[in-house]
Amino acid sequence: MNLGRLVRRQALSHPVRAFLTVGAVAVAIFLLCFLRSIVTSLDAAVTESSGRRIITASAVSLFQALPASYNEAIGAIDGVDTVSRFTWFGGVYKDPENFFAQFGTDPELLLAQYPEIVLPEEQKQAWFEDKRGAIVGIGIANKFGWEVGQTVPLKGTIYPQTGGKAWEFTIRGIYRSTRANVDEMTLYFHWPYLDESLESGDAMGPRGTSVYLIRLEDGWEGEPVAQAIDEYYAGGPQRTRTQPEAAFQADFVNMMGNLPTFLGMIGGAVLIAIFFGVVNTMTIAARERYRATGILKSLGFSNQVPLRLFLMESTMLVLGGGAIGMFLAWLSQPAMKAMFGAFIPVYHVAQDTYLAAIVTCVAVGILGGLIPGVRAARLQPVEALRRGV
Amino acid sequence: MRHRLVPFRYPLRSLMVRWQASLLSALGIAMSIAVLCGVFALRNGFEALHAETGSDDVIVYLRKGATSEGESGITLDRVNMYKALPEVQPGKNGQPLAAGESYLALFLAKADDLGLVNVPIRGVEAASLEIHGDAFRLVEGRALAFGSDEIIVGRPLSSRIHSCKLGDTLMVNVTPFKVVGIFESDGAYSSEIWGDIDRIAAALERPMRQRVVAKMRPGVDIAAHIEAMENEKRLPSKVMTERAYFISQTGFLGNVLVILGNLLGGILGIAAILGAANTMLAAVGSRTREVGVLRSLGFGQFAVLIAFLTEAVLIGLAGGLIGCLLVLPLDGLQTGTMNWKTFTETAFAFRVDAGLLTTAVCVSVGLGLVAGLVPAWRASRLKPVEAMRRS
Repeated sequence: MNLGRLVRRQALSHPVRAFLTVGAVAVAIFLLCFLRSIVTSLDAAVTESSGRRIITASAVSLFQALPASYNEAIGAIDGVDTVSRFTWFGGVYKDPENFFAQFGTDPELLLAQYPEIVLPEEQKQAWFEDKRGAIVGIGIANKFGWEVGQTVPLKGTIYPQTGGKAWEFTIRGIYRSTRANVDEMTLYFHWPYLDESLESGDAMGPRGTSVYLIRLEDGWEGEPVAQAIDEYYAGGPQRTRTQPEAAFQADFVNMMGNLPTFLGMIGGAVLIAIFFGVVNTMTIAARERYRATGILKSLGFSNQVPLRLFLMESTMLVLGGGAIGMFLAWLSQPAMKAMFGAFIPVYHVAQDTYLAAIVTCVAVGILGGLIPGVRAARLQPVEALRRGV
Repeated sequence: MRHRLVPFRYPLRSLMVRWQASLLSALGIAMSIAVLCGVFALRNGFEALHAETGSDDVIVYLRKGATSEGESGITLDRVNMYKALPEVQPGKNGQPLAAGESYLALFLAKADDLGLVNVPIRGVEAASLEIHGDAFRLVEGRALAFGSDEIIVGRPLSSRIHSCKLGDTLMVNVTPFKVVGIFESDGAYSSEIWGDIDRIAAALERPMRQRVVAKMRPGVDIAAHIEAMENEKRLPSKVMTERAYFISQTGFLGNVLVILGNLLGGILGIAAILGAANTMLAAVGSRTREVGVLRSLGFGQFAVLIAFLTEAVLIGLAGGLIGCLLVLPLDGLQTGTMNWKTFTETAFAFRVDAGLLTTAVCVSVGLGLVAGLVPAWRASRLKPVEAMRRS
């Protein structure tokens, strides 16, 4: 005999209530996916990083520029293929709320070191040729509605122009990224343009470079090269810390401190809340079905059958809600990117998040059905029939 | 009889009889309220830290265009021009109560593990200590001796950060500095390390100052001074009171927490409404006969509606109170989070205040009310005779 049909009928016997339960679970599963994706998206930048690149930064402070003279010295160290300069610009586009990253860099080197950055050949050439040109990620281009050829004003905060005017960069290309370690929320421009402006007095601010990005020669491992660089500058003028791209990214995640813990706590509260909700629904259902349970038992079904019925029903409801929640999580990815792009440039719901959501659903479904199910299994048929509502 | 309401005892007892279901729905609401309160207590604490320390008669001068000290840079000759402003109050020794200060977030190791955090080191002058006097208390060790490689450390840092205890030696670039004192401050200064500005400038090879702070003479029109200085071409400045400066440093994190709090709270609130509505619907369903009895006794549709709404509101109220109890232990709990504006680790405490709790209870009662609307309306529409017959 097929119990599936009975389960289905019973689950939908109160359509409004079934809908409410499924809705509540959908919302909760959506939240869990969202919270976990924040953490995994931050981690993705670390795990997807390339082992062929190492980064030299000041060992003293994230905000301390390294002297421009380091460029040649680092380039001469064994194992270093190319060195490019990266300077954090920190400009403001119209309003500080529009925060996004901007770097002054060496255009040809950047694109050679980062095959992850993809844009059409003619846009590359146009950028190389325009000293005041910039390329931007598709993410911010979409956010602000920028197009190739447009001029973007950025007010300098670390590097204000002496006259008080905003810097103007012409967008020469819009790039996409093929991996999670490179976001699509950044603007890159010519480092020499910044340096020349500081040299001529057109702009104010600290000279030098925030970090040097080094691509290793084939056959070289990162560690000995990093050690050689750091030893070279151990006595100053600025001590350096050179580490693989992954470790550099991991430092940023660590700096956010206990964010993952906070999100975990919230996730725990959400989980408990849906669990209560499901137990509640199933308990109510069980109370209404004393008589039905009694009938099943009088017909000779074993104790296990009512238990199984409840487990199936609650798992079915939770999985239904979970499926909707996961769909919402998948659907909302662009919206989340827009909302939190400044913090989590590569928001993405990972496959194992969906998997974790399914496991959670099954677990909550089984546990939620267990309490009323066991109670129903223990009912004496006669009493159940008598008590029935 | 038509206009009589069902006595309050009725919804109350109904809840008691079905206490398991009532409690579970209340807990659902409690969870969402707790999360909402937790996030807002975090924001409260963070904002209070910044809003309650700055003085209104201390002016902060940054370089024009800068929005924080980290972005600013002021040359020494300009620092002296600020010090010579006539609005600046003279100190005990006759020198102006104005000081150049440097600021840089250092990479320092956490005390407990290998992780690095950004900790601000502030170079101060002797006048700085007098200017910040109200917000600054030395609690251990001794005062800074100017001219030597010494530092004093904010109390929350001294236990969280490696080499920051009294008597420790902290390496700043390639120069060792000795920790001679621990200080307390009600505000963001407590997450900083302070030392002699000239010694720190030498150790870091950063001769520029990041800001100038100055105490204004009594009677100076602060707003007019700020406006005049903002338009001063000779000395391009960003000028604000110390209090305004502190508040401006919270904006970014504050906003993110508000967005996150509202998003989470809103979504969880919807889930809680769905859950509570479910309980109430079931309650109405299983009490059809009761409703019939009530109606036959002469209670009107409105009375029944109010009775069931009261039940829902009581569930909401209970949920709100439980939620508040859950977050109360957070009050005063020390934590640290990254200030996105300055990118530095800031230590502060969760703050659960009366306003937050009141809002929480109101919101949860609202959740209960919304959840109860449909079920209560359904109950009130039941026809008495049919209701009696049906079950």
